[in-house]
Amino acid sequence: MTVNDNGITSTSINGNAIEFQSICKRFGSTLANDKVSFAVKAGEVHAIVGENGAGKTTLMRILYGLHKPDSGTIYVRGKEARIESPKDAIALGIGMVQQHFALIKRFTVAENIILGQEGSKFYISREKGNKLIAELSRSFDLSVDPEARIEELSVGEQQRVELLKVLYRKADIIILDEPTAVLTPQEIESLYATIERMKASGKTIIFITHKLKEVFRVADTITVMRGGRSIATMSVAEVTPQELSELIIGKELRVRGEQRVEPKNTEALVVENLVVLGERGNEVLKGLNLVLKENELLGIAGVEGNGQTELVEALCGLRRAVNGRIMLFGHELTGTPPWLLRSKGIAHIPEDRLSSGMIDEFTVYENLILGYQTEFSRAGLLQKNEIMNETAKLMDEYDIRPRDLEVKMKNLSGGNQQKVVIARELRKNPKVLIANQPTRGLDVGAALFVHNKLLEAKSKGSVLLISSDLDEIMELSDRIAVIYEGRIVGEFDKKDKVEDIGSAMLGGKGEYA
Amino acid sequence: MPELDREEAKRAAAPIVSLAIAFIIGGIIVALIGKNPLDAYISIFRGAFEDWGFTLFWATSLIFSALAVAIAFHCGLFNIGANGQLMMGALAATYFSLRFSGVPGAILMPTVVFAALCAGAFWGFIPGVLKAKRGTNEVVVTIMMNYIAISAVSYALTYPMKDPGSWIAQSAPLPESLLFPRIGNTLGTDPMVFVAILMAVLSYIFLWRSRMGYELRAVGFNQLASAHSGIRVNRIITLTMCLSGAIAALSYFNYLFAYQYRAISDVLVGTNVGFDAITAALLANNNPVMVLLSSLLLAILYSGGLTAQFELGVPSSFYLFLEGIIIFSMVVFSVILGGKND
Ligand SMILES: Nc1ncnc2c1ncn2[C@@H]1O[C@H](COP(=O)(O)OP(=O)(O)OP(=O)(O)O)[C@@H](O)[C@H]1O
Ligand SMILES: [Mg+2]
Repeated sequence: MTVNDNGITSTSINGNAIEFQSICKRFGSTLANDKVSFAVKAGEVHAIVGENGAGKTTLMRILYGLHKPDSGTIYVRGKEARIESPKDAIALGIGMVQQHFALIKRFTVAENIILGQEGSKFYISREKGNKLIAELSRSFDLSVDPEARIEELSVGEQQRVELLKVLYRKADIIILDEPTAVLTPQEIESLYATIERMKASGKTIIFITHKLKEVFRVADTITVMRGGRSIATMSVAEVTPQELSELIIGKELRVRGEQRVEPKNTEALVVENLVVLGERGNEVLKGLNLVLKENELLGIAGVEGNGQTELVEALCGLRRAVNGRIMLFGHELTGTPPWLLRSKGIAHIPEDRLSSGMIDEFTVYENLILGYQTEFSRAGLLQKNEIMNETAKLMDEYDIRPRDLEVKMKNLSGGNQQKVVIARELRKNPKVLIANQPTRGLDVGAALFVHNKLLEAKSKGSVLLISSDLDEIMELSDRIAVIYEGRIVGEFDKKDKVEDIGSAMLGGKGEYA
Repeated sequence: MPELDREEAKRAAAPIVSLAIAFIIGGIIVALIGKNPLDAYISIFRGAFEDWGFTLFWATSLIFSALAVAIAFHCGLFNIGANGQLMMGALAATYFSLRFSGVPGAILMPTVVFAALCAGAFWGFIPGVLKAKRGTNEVVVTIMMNYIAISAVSYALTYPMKDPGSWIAQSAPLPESLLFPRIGNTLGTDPMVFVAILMAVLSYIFLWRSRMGYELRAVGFNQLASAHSGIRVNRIITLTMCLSGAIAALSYFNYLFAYQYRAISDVLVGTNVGFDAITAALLANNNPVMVLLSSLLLAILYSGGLTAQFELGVPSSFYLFLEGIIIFSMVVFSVILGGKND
């Protein structure tokens, strides 16, 4: 038994950091956790996997004191623990990085880390705090400037700040809820490195993910959840990826429909010499050219921050083109405001569903008509019956759970929220679908379903797919365009080598991770 | 109890708990000044009930402005300017009534209402369009608009619109054909109370059944997602402020046409209805139908407060005091609820 510097015993007699015993949690008619029981050994990396809505986030929020279980017991290092609030969890050495970060945008990194620290003194010397942060950054491979404001940081950097916050509070059991969903491949690599370091220093890590590749890359043990229950806990060595994915969805994973429509020669969307300015007034797109053919799925590959966001915003009418033009089937589209674009047949799955794809205080049915409310109104009044019928249909088709039309969007699991957004954008068979990270947060089954849906959308129109997941792009695209520093620098066939694409993504200047 | 229901229940309980807190602290204060708190409250409610006409009269004014505040709130806008909007509405109504006093009432009244709606809408339009186009804080602008309205009203009633035969700054008497009948005892109320109830129902339908209400609430919750979905955010913000101002503009109609029969500068400028409306909207959680209840409750405290002052010598500022505590506890509540909502 070892005791670390803050007096918390890091290994208990039976070696379990956490043990869940028969945890139940009900939300209205949904049983989110149903007699969940399993143990997390001290010092291991424990992956929790399972379908969308399986209850993973709920269980972790219970462990961190954000929800109260209806029944069941949690043992922390062998002792029964009563965790009423995050304060209790922190006192027990438990930390959590949630999917949406809880950082104050106007404050600096250091202020965010030090503030709200339990038991902090009224005044903390800046140097002392910065020194501690620098030390933590170094020892856990979490490079970030302590003096930078949160609003200046990328998503990956913000996540590092959250991790530093947890480490600063001396947590040794660390929960990460889908940490890689929002990261670029490079950032994912560096997160892996951090996880290794944390593990090496004796910390226990619990992390939720939908990407099986990651499970096999970093986890020691896996727990599978389905329908609110924990159905299996095993070591990674005992299972193959194929077996694991079948365990997760409870059946064999259907393979992709292989009959693909060949692209026509008609040009659906043409972007010519597009120049767009970024937030700071600098040119972010520097004369971008792009052609999307009818019935084509064009993948845009590139390292995040090379103009993808601005390209999508320009195509959606949310960012002004200072030069160049956008054409849809030969008609000029440049400068068309967003409310007209929809009627012209352009749909958009935004990259960040929470901030720009949905309204979390609205119900599911209200979210399913967002942007199409005119279609569902007569004489200025919403036609609730029509909306409800359509909603019920879409919820069945897209398997959105729970099957409750009036549930608030914020009470859906992350993956189910994503399904709502996708269902809405695909419903009208758009002429051009702009799909930005469409499978973010989806389980393996749902991701496959959405892939098939994208192929279907392509057979009825055309699709522009932007994704940081190169595998996804390679699998689905007819053609791949690589974006680099605001220009398309290369076009590839799916028969081309991944290495060549990777190298183009770095401007031809190196090896892609 | 399931978590979902608990959170909703807490939100619903906030007004009741705030009222209870206000009544308890109010009671303690009454006891401290040497009166019996129970007597004071009995006197308030009995008084309000006996003078039910006046209580309803007061509630009517409040309902319009509170609906204005509530609707703006659903769009994420804090309209502190109901007071100025109602003044401009009253001024326009007075002007048109007197200018076309020869026209038969059946034609003139709709014209007068329309003029008032336009004036209120314009007073909402300015902060709305500034917010939409320039991002100017609507709280600051509506407060400024309140001051401008005060100056405009006192100027108009002191100079161009002043009744030449009068000693004080007030308009000429309004045409007989426009005056409302009185309903009830003492001061009495008037048909505007029915218009107010109708307006609350319409507002409810507007917010939850109409397309624009949907867009307005979408903008109130998430501007970015609204913009992405093709909702014209700037237009919605501007229109909402216009609508809010237009509704507020009806707040003073019962004073004009059923009570004072003319616009009296000092009274109009001294009105506080647009601010009491914020309390009413807050208490009603911005639900238009609940606004009817909260406005009635505030009207009871006000009208009964006058009785209590008369009978027991409870200071008339007692009403303001209670109102202050209600606002304070509601704000504390929303901070607590907001904080839990991570
Ligand atoms: N606050 C809440 N109120 C009502 N229902 C909720 C609430 N939080 C979660 N749920 C429901 O509980 C179930 C489990 O949700 P949870 O978020 O734990 O799933 P998850 O396994 O994390 O899924 P995902 O992989 O999609 O993130 C879902 O059906 C969800 O709708
Ligand atoms: Mg989740």
